[in-house]
Amino acid sequence: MTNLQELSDAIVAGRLEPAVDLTRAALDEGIDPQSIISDHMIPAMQRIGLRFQEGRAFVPELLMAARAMKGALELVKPRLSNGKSATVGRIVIGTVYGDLHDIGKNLVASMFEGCGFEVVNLGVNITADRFVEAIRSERADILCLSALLTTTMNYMKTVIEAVEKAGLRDRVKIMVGGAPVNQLFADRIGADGYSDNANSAVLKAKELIAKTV
Amino acid sequence: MKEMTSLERCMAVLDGWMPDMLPVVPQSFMFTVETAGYKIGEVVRDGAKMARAHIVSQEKYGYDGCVIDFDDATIAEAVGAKVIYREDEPAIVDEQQPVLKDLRDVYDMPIPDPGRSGRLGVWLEATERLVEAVGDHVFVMGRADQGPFSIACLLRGTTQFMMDLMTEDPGLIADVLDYCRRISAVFAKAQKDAGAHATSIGDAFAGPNLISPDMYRRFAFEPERRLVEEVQAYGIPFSVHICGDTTGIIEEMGRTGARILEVDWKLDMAEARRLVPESTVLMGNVDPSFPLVLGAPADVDAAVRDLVAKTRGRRHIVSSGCAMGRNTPEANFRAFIAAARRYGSYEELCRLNENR
Ligand code: B12
Repeated sequence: MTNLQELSDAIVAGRLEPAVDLTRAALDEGIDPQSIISDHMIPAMQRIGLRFQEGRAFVPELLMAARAMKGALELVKPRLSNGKSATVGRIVIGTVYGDLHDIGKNLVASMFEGCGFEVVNLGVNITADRFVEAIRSERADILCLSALLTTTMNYMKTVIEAVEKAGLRDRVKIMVGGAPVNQLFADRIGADGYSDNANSAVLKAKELIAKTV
Repeated sequence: MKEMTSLERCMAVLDGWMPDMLPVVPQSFMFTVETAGYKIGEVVRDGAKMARAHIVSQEKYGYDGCVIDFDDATIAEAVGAKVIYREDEPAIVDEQQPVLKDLRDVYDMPIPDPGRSGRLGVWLEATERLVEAVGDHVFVMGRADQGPFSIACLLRGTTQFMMDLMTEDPGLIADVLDYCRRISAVFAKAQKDAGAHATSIGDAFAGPNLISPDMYRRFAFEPERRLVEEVQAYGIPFSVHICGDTTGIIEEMGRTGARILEVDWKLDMAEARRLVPESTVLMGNVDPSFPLVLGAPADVDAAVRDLVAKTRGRRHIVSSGCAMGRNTPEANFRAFIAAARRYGSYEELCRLNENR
């Protein structure tokens, strides 16, 4: 019998090979793929996410964990009944126009993926039009905007206005983040949520989704 | 107290004398460029415009020193990195096309020539022109762009290098960082030859936003320390800037021996003052986002007041914690300097130090 606690530990420790081997063994034993994800992989990402938030893990550790998680997830995904995991919600994320910082945004995206969200990561330097288009085409529940510069953070407001103009504002929750952003600024531009780190971003997103249903 | 020039004021702090008032040296290159009516994109390949921007801005606002910074891509570019230039925001290294496709490629990497490689010569021309124009009375701090750990991230791609730290042979990582230290030293020393009063690096990627204090000690500290030693032995004060909450590494940063540490706003300055040697100058650390961009002049004033109370003006150069946004309101910038003058006046400094 595969010890799934070990799978969880391997992900937290960022060890890709054992994570993949354990996942393969578990699948071969007929363990429910959805349960592997929900009961072991997601809690592992939550564990490392919490350590990161508390300053007990840093970017390298989080990247390694995300890599191990993704490796394992690739094996599990094709085995899910309809080929798709029961998703918690759909996220479109990107760094706003003029801004090319992506380390934090990618960590947030990884945490979302690791915690059961479907994530469409648009990349950096994304215009308002492209965000609007992606909300439509991806049927996003939450739009996540990242900015690291005091200049580009103002563009988040432009994006929110464009979403309003496109008539999509009631359909999508908008979260913002990045080093210069704070709650005050988020409130000022009319965002629904803000968080200063990848871990609480996930909690906030879950809270926003719970409010919609 | 006889009035000092800006340069004398900064040198007094560096040498441990009481200044006539605390010096202000903002990290303001983006704001500076706008003040002079330029776009950053037209300045970054033009040493004359670089110098002009600083001259115009310093004269307009009357702060005490200029930090000659223009982007984080210059040293990496000088050894072959691809750079993306934009009109409004500083140039950046294209990390999607890393120079070090394999860490072992480091053994074939060139040592840059300060006169010829990339834009090193342009930055040095800016230093020369600025020193020539105002260096008799204004403090000119050259920036030798990035420090060793940050250069490694830019040459290898940050995400990849972060994972390399966990998976690759520590000896190989040390070789990569040693190469980065050597090229950083070339540029830093050339700043002295160009006439700068001090020189500096930013080693932001080695900060706690990205790596743990333990990793800082294991990987980033020694190359930084050796760089500081070499450059200061060449006869010029050196400054190290690391962004973010450096509480967990400030003591080690002090141990690099750098005569100046430029520290970010999340660090408690009273705590920092206790943790680094008495002779180390602390430069910082008002949050460039709130209050400098998002706050009102009164918020800026309060932030500077609290800041000076924390260091009691001891070996302190008032600055922002990180690079100021080009959209910092003029009124806030003026309030920043005015507050430093008020709370850092000779009388205030005497008062702050008497009570103890
Ligand atoms: C790494 C870095 C770079 C790298 C970026 C590499 C990359 N691929 O991303 C490079 C060298 C390219 C770079 C370039 C520049 N940078 Co820079 N950079 C940084 C640095 C050191 C770290 C940023 C980082 O990755 N942090 C680690 C991650 C994990 O943290 P994070 O991004 O904050 O993300 C976390 C949270 O904010 C949150 N979060 C992030 N996004 C989102 C989104 C949502 C929806 C939510 C909920 C949460 C969330 O969760 C994340 C994980 O916990 C910061 C310093 C700092 N104090 O932040 C400066 C910093 C952001 N840069 C700065 C500047 C000025 C620049 C440049 C303009 C100029 C320069 N100095 O050359 C250029 C501009 C490039 C551009 N137009 O985008 C300034 C900004 C100051 C200001 N007033 O605006 C900073 C603060 C430092 C400085 N030098 O002064 N930079």
